Amino acid sequence: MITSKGLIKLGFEPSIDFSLRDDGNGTYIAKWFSDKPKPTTADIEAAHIEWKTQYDAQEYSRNRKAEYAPIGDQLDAILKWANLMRMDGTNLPEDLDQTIAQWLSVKQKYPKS
Amino acid sequence: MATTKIRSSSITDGQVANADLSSTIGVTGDQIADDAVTLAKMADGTQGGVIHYGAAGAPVELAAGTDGYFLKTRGAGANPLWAEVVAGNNTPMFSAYLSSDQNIADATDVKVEFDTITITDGGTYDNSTNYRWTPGVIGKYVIKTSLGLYHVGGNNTDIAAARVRFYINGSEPSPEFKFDNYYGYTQNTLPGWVHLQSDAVISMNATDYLEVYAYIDHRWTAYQNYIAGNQASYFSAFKLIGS
Repeated sequence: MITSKGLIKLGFEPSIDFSLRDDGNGTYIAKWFSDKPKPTTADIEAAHIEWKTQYDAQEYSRNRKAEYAPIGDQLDAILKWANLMRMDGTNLPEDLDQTIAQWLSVKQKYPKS
Repeated sequence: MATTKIRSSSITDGQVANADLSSTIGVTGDQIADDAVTLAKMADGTQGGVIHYGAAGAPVELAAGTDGYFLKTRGAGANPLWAEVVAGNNTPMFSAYLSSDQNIADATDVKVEFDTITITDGGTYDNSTNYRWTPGVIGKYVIKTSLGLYHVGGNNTDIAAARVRFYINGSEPSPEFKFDNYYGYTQNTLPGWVHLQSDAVISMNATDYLEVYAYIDHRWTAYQNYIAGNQASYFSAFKLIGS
């Protein structure tokens, strides 16, 4: 079966390299714009299987991402920890020190009401 | 016989009797004062008729016409006549919707299978095999479609692109005459549900046919794409009066 995922896996872009169409009897390549040769259906099917295998292998990553706290919350927690270290006298890298200073100034500018 | 001439001043006012006048006495236009000919002086006609000038320039009567008809001019070279008013309706016309969700392949222009007709008058909408409308009458038509497009599962912000497009006689319109409604490629900026509408006025021959195709590019995941059913997606058209 011809799929856009298979064609994309082969390095082609929808609407740029190809146009697919389905009139009710299955997907087919309606237009081929690419300068490269049009791949065979077998090539496309093999590429689709490869894409699906890689996609399925990343399921754990998608599941983790869905359940992790938002990036902003995670970063806030790290900066709070780093600020504690800083107040305890730990010498932090200059970039991190400046980041914490800027982070604190913003908090001061917009205090919780 | 000698002719005896009598001066006007020798005639007392009111003394010349009708019998003394010629039966063929001629009265010319300049002997009739403006606004002196009253309607009562005109010959009677038939009620409902109207007077107009004929081909020879003489006034003629156009007899009363059919009740409800209007007087129609045909220009300087022909007599006016009574004419029927053309009925003002927008047929052929139809409207159909998608009764249940239609699953469509990713990044593929897929024909939308509008399967339920809500109204139709003239023309032919095929709601079971080819899902196309054939007007059956040449004219100019307003065409409209509205589609709900979405995918199931995953992150609801990863539709890359979506569009709706009319196809005429099985082909997409030429580039200068496209009726696309399109969301462009921008990852993670589009909602998981988009509602696209498209409409246009087009000329159609009697045997031309019209279809709707939908497209969703949802490249980053393996989730399924759908055209929303339950009357969330519809297709309609009607003919412009007089076109």
